[in-house]
Amino acid sequence: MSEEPGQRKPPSRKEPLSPEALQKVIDAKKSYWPFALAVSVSIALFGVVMLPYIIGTIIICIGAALTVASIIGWGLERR
Amino acid sequence: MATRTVVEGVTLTRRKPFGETYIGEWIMTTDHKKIGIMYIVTAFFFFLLGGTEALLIRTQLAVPDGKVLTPEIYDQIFTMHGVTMIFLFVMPMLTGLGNYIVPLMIGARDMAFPRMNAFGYWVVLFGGLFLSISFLFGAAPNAGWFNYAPLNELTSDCGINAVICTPGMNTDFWALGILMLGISSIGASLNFVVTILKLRAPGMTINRMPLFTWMTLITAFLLLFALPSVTAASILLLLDRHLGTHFFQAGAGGDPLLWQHLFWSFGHPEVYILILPAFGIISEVLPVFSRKPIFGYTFIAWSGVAIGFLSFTVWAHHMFAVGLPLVAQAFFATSTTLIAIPTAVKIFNWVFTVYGGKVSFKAPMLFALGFIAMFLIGGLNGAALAIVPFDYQVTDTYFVVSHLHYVLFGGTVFGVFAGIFYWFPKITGRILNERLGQVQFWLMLIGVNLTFFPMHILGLLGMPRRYYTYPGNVGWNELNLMATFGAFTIAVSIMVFLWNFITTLRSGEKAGDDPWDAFTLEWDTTSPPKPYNFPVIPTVRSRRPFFDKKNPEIADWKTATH
Repeated sequence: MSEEPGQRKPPSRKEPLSPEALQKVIDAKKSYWPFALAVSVSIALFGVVMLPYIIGTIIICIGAALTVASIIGWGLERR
Repeated sequence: MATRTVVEGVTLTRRKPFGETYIGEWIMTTDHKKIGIMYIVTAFFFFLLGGTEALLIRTQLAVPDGKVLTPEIYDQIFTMHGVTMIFLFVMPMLTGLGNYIVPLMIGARDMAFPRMNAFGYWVVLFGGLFLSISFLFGAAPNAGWFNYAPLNELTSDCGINAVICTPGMNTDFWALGILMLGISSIGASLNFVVTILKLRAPGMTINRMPLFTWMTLITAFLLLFALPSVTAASILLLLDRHLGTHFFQAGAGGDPLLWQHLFWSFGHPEVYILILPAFGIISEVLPVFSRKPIFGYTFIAWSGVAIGFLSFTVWAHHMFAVGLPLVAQAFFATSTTLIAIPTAVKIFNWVFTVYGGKVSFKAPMLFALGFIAMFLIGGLNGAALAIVPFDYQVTDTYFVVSHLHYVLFGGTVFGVFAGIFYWFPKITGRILNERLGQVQFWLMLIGVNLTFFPMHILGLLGMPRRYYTYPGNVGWNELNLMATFGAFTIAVSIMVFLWNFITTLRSGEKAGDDPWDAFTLEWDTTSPPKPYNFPVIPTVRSRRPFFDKKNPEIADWKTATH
């Protein structure tokens, strides 16, 4: 049976993809959310070290807010 | 007059997205190879930091009544030396090598969870910085790398809040830093388990996996099962310090020994977490430089599994002196002795891999052979420590310091350098200078033995570990001076490596794709590999797939039964 025009056969695992196509697949995965989440968690925990001073509580709140934002950002990011 | 508008030289420029800038490439990367390199570089930075701390300790102890450091700073330095070397050098270094090499070895294009992989790295970096900046506050952790109770919270007259008794931030830095690093390790371990179990190339059965991959898999399981206890302990400690609980306060009905049980039920599997990947590296290097398949593949692989299981049954050998019941002492002495059996199985197989081979004494091979010799010493004096009456005599003396450094420096660090010299050409495309590698090896071998062998005798003579200084009339002077001289010899060997590293990166000899005529799939790629690793996922038919590809007429799969 012949293929219809415009219909592409999915690449089989054994067929080599072009380097450009492979590069594109890899590039699609870049993200700054892992970095952002790690920074946010670090800030929150640094606040714990600063307890019982008030500055500690403030830093924890900032870190916690950034952590939540990073988790949401990570979750909503298009892959 | 008509007006003429001239538009000349108009070029539309697009601002480069952050992810395409040099810094953005690294910050946003999810490529296992880049993450592996970041792990390795970060770990090496912390190795230099931990090494500097070691030199400070040895300088303080070089002569009696030393006054190089204050007692308070000395406590912080020896604690952070342990924390840095274990959590910030060895673990990230082995994770980094695994990150870079394992997907290539099993014919995968990346780790199973690339973003979680990136997150794990960033947490290690910030966790390490978090622990290290404690020095800037004059409050680095100071209760030993194990952070024993009651040193971590003090017990008497504290009222309800332990933080009042130890108002410094030292212990909080330790507990929170370890929590952060634990998060990273759990993420990395899950990633390794799923990657190895699910992303292997077609035909790569469990029994055909490279041994480094085997050991990385076992290590990942160990981490997953060992980390919860230290994580729980850290949280309980923080509750004691900040919310008025008394888990570890004897005066308030708590139990300081609970800390030791929780810590060491993580801490002893941790020793194998630090050494098993080095076993894997050695099992890759020895066959290539002996031009033979590994001897006793199945035994090496499954003895690793046996070590993994047994490592959860030996923790209280760190606690013989606390007054354990007799039956517990007998149990832990027996299990500790038992673990020597699978370890000896590995050494036997490594020796017989080399025996009868066409041995090439290149730098990776030298470090691998050095590993076997040094680890054997560390294993034998470890078996001695399993004998309870002997342990009573030398517990918390320099004998124990000697044992753990023969295992972790003579073993793991030699294994790490074997791996670095072996895989550096794959990672960078350049080959480290062989002559400098040999100089480094011999300096390091001499340095390690000069530093740590005298510590056996110091321990037998009764020198306690962690003491700030010692009097000049107890017969420890010469041995301490010798150990200090050895420590600086090791430092020189590391300088040689740094010089080799820098000059090789700048103008080193090009390596080619397969400079060692190796056997496994990571060498079947370019050096350094392309981001996608393999244009076509290879098909595996034996334990040496790249050897088969290069030598189809004598391919392993034609004769092997596995």
